[in-house]
Amino acid sequence: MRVPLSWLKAFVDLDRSVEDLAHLLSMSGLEVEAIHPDKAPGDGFVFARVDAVRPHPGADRLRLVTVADGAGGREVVCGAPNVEAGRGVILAVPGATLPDGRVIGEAKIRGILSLGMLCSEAELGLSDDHGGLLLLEPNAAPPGTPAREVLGGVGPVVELSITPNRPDWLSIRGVGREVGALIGRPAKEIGIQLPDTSDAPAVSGLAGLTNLAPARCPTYVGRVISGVEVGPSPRWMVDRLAACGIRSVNNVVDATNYVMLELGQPLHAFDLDRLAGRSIVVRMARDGEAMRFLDGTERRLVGDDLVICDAERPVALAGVMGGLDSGVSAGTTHLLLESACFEPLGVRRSARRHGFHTDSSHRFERGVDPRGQWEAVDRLAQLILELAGGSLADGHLVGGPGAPERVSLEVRRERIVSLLGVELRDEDIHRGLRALGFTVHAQGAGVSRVTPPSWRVDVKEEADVAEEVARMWGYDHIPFTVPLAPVRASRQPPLWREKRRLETYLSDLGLLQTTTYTFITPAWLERLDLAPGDPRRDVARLLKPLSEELSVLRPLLAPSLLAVAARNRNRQSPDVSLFEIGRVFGRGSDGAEERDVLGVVMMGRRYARTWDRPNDDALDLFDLRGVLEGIGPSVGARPLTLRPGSEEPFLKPGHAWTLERGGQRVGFAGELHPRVARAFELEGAVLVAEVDLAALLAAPEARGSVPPLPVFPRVQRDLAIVVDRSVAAGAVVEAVRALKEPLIEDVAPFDVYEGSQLGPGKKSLALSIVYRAVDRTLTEKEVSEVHGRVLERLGTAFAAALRG
Amino acid sequence: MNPSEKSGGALDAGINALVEVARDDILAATDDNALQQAKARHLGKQSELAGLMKTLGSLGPEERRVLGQAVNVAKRDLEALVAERRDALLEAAAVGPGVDLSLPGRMRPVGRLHPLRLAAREIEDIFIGMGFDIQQGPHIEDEWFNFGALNMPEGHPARDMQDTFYLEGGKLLRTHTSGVQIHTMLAEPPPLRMISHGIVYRSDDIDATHSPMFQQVEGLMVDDRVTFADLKGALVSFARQMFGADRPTRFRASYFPFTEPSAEMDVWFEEKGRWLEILGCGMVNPEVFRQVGRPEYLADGIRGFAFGMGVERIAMLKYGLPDLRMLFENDVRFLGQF
Repeated sequence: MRVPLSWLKAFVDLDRSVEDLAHLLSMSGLEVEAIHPDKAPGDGFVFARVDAVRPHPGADRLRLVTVADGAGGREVVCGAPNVEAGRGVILAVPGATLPDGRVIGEAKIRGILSLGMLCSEAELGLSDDHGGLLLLEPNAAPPGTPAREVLGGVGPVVELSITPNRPDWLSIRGVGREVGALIGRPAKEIGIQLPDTSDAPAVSGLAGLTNLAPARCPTYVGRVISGVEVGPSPRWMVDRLAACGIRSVNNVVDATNYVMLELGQPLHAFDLDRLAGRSIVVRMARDGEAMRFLDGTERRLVGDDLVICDAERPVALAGVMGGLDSGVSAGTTHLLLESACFEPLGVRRSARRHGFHTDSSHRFERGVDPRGQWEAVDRLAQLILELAGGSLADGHLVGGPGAPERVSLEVRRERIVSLLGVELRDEDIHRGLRALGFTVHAQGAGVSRVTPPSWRVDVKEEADVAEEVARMWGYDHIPFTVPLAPVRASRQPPLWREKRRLETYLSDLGLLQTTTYTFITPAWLERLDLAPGDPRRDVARLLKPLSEELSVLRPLLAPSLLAVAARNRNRQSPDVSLFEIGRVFGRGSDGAEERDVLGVVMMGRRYARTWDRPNDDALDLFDLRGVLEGIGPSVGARPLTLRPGSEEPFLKPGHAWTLERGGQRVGFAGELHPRVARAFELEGAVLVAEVDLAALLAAPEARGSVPPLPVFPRVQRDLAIVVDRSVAAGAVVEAVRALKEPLIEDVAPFDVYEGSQLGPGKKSLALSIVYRAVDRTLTEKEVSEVHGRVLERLGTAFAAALRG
Repeated sequence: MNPSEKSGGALDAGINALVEVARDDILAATDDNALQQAKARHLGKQSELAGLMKTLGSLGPEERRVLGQAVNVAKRDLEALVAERRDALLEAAAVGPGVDLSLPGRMRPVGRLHPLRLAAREIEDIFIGMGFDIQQGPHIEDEWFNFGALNMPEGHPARDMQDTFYLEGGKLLRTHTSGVQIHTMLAEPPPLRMISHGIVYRSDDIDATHSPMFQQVEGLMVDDRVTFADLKGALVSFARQMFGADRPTRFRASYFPFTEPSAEMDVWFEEKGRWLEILGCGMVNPEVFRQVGRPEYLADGIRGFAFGMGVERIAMLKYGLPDLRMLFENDVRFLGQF
C-alpha cells in the first residue's frame, strides 16, 4: 500500500517529517517497506511552450523544436512522435538531472545542437509511460515556470506492508485514522456534497436490482448517473493514482480506483446502456457458464462463483473483476455505480479458482467496512459529477439485508493489566480505544463495554482489545520483567543429548557438517541404480515443486552429500570429509513418513600435504570404518556391527559392509561403485555411509563406574600364521576370543602379508596378543602355556601354520 | 712411617691412578650413551673402585677408615664429573645449526559444526538456561496442525503470507515450527515452557535472503501468570546473550494469527546503522487454546506467550554473512571457518 503524504494530509493534520511518520507507523504495526522521495522535478526542469516543429535534416524520426522558455527561446532535437506546436511541455535544460541519474547536457544530435530535452512522463519519473512527451495545456503557466509548480507534485510516498488483519489500512483514510489516533488528532471527515436530486428522475425508474444471494452479498448499493462525458482525468488525479501504482484509464474508471484507495471500498462502474434489461441481478453462477473478463480472457464459472449479472448474463465476477462487455468505454454516457459488500471467503475462493488477484479481491478477502458502501458510492458519484459531468438520479438501488448488528465486548481492566504486565488505569485504556474510534461505556470501576468501529472487522474479543490498548500505550512503555515461573531443569527429548555428542565427535575427527536441502532431483536417485522393486524408488513428490531440481523428498541422504562432494571437487577442493544428520522420507501409508539419518562421505587425501611429507595417501575403507566404530562409544553405546557384504547396488562389490545393531540392519557403509562415482562426477575411492539415527543412538548403555587401571605389567606376544587367503582376519581374532582365556586381555591383527614365497592362495596374518593378570605379575611359563593353546586352536581351526 | 701409612699411601696412589683413567674416559665421552658406558665402567658394580671397596673388609680398622674415605671421595668426584659432563653434553646438544623456523606447521585435520547448527545450539542453550524444555515435531504436517489450530482456518488471508508445499494426499511440509506448540499442548497440560528447533519449508525461490527450506526456533510458555512484559523480558535477555549485553532492542506491533497482541523484536546493529528484525512474538491467541481444546488450557486465567525466529537470519547477523545461499552451498572453504 503506497500512501502519498500529501494525500494523507487530507485526512489528518500532519506536521511531522516523513521519517518521524515512518517511525510512528512502524512501531504501531504498519511496517514501512520504503520511503519514496518526492518525485517532483528538481532544478533545471521548466515549463515551456512549443512554438514551431520542423523536420530534422539528418534523420527522419527526429524533429527540431523551437520552444518558448521564458528566456528568449531555444531549439532542441526531439524524437517523440507526439510533439506538436502550441502545446505545453516540460523542458530539461542542460545541467538538469533526470530521476535515473542521467545529466542533460548540450549535445549535437545528427549534426544539430540540442539545448536540452523535452520530457516524457517516464523521464520525469512520474510513470513508466515512454510513449511520448508529457503534453500540457499551453497556458498552464508562463514559460520558464519551474516544472514542480506546474505538475503540483505528489510529494514523498510511504510504502507500507499491511498485515492481513487490518483491511482498514488498505486506504488512505484508514492510515489517516491510525495516524490521527497516534498523534492525538482526530481524523478529518471526507465531507461529501451531492447536488439536490429531488427533481431528478428516481433511480428505480432507470435501473433494476435483484439480490438473489444475500448470504454472499449482504449489501449492494447502486447509483445511476446520466449524461457523463468519458475523457482523460485531470493531472492531479493521474499523479495521485500513479503515486499509488495505478495507471490512469479514463475519468470514470480513475474515479472508482481513486475512491477505493481513498476509502478502501472497491467500486465498479457499469455502462448502463450495455446492461441487458438495464438491471442488475446478484446470483450464484451456473456451472459451466462462460464469461469474458476485462483482461480479455474467457473463463468457465462454477456454481460457487458469485456473479453480478444483467438480465441475460454475468457482467462481473463479484468482488474480483468486471466483464469485458459491460465496462466503461469512450462512448459511455449512462453509468450504474456499484458499491457492495461481499462475503470474504467466497471472494477468495473465486479469485483463487480463476487465478485472479486484484486490488478489489485483495480488499474483499480481508474484509471491507460492512457499513461503508453508502458513503463510498456517494463519494464516487460526487467525483464523477465533478470530472465527467452528467446528472445524478435520485436515490439508491439497494439489495441485501445489510450489515449485521454491531457487537459490544466486555473489557475488564484487571485482565488487560495482567495480560500486558503494566499498571493501567481505566482512563488509560479508554483514551486509547476512543482515539481509535471505539465506543466505550464504563460500567463501574474496572469494567467497560466497548464497541469497535464498523471498519475494525478484526476486533472480536478481549485479547484483540488488549492489543489495541497496548499499541496505544506504546509497546516500548511496557516494562521488561522476568517470568515468575518456578525454577526447574529443562527437559530434552530422548537421544537429544546423544545427537549433540555425535556431532561433536564427528567434527572432532575432522569431518565438516553440511546442511543440504531435503528435496532433491530424481536424477540423483537414478544414478544410484536402485533395484526396480526398491521401496526407495517410490519417493514422495511435491505437488508444485519450485523446479525439477527440488521436486522429490529424498529417501536417502547419501546423494545430497555426494553432490556436495562433487561441487567441492569442481571448485578445486578434492579432499572432503563430510557428515550430516538429516531427514529422509519414505512414502509410508498416507503419503510420506520421515526419519533422521547420519550420512558420511569421505574422499581424497588423508592428511594435507606438508613441506617434508608429500602425502598422496588416499583415504580408504578403513578410515571410514574407524569413524563408524567410534560412534557407539562416543555416545556411550556399543559399537555398530559392520557385517562384511552389502546389497546396495551403488557400492563396490567386496568393498562394503552392512551396518547392524542388535541383529537389525540399520545402514550401509563402503566404497561407492566407480560407475556411480562417475555419475556424480567423482573419481577415486569415495567412501560413503548412512545409518539410521534412532537405531544408532538407541538405548545408550548407562556408563558403569570407571574400572581401576591395571597395576601389574602386561606381556605382549606376537605370532604370525599362514592361512588361506579367504580366511578373514576377523574370524581369526574371534577364534582367539572364543577361547575365553582369562589371561588374554586383547588380541588384534597388526600385519597382513601376501607373497609368492607363502604359496599360492595363502597369506600371512600377524596377531598381537596381550596377556595380563589382575592380581600378579605373569611368569613366562604361564604365558607360554596359554600362547601354546592359542596356536593349537588356530592350527586346527584354520589349518594355520606357524610362520617363520 | 707405620705400615698402614705406607700401604695407605700406595693405595692412595692406586686410587689416584684409577681416578685419572676414569676422568679421561668420562671427559672423552661425546654423547650420553658413551657417558653411561664410562660411568658403568668406572663406577658400576664391576668397576675397579667397586673392587677396592670389596677389599676393605680385610683391612685393619684404621686402614679401612682411611682407604674407605679415599674411595668415597674418588667416587663422589667421579659422579660429580659424570653429572658435569652430562650437563656439558646437553648444553652442547642444544647448540647447533638451527632449523628453518619459517616453515609452516603440520595441521591436523579439523572438522566443524555447520554455522546453522552452531547458531541453533546457542539459541537452544540460552533458552535451556531459562528452563525451557526441548520439543520436536514432524516436517510433514496436516493442515490443522500447520494452519487450522493456529487460527488460520481455510480461506484465511494469512495463509498467503506462507506459500506452502503440498504433497499428494493433502499433507504439507510445515511452513513454520508453530505446529510443535500444538503437539506439545495436546500432550501436556500447563504450565509449559518449551522451544522447538527445526526445518521448515516455503515455496520461495532461492535468493540472497530467501530459501525454500530454512530453520526456525519456536518458543511457547503457558501458565496462569505470564505477561507481555515477561515476554519482553525473556526475549530481551535472549537478544543480549546472543548479540551482546549492550544491544538495544525494541518491540513493534505486528500481526500473527496465533498471537494477540503480536509484536516483532528488532535489535540495533551499530555496524549497519539500523534496526533489524530478528523475531516475531506475542501472547497466545485464545483461539489457539480453543482449537487445542484441552480443558486445562481453557481454564480461566490461563495464558501464554509464543515467539519464533529464523535461524538463518540469526546466523547471518551473528557471523556477518552477506548471502543466505552460502549456508546451503556447503563449500568446504566456507564450512571450515566456523
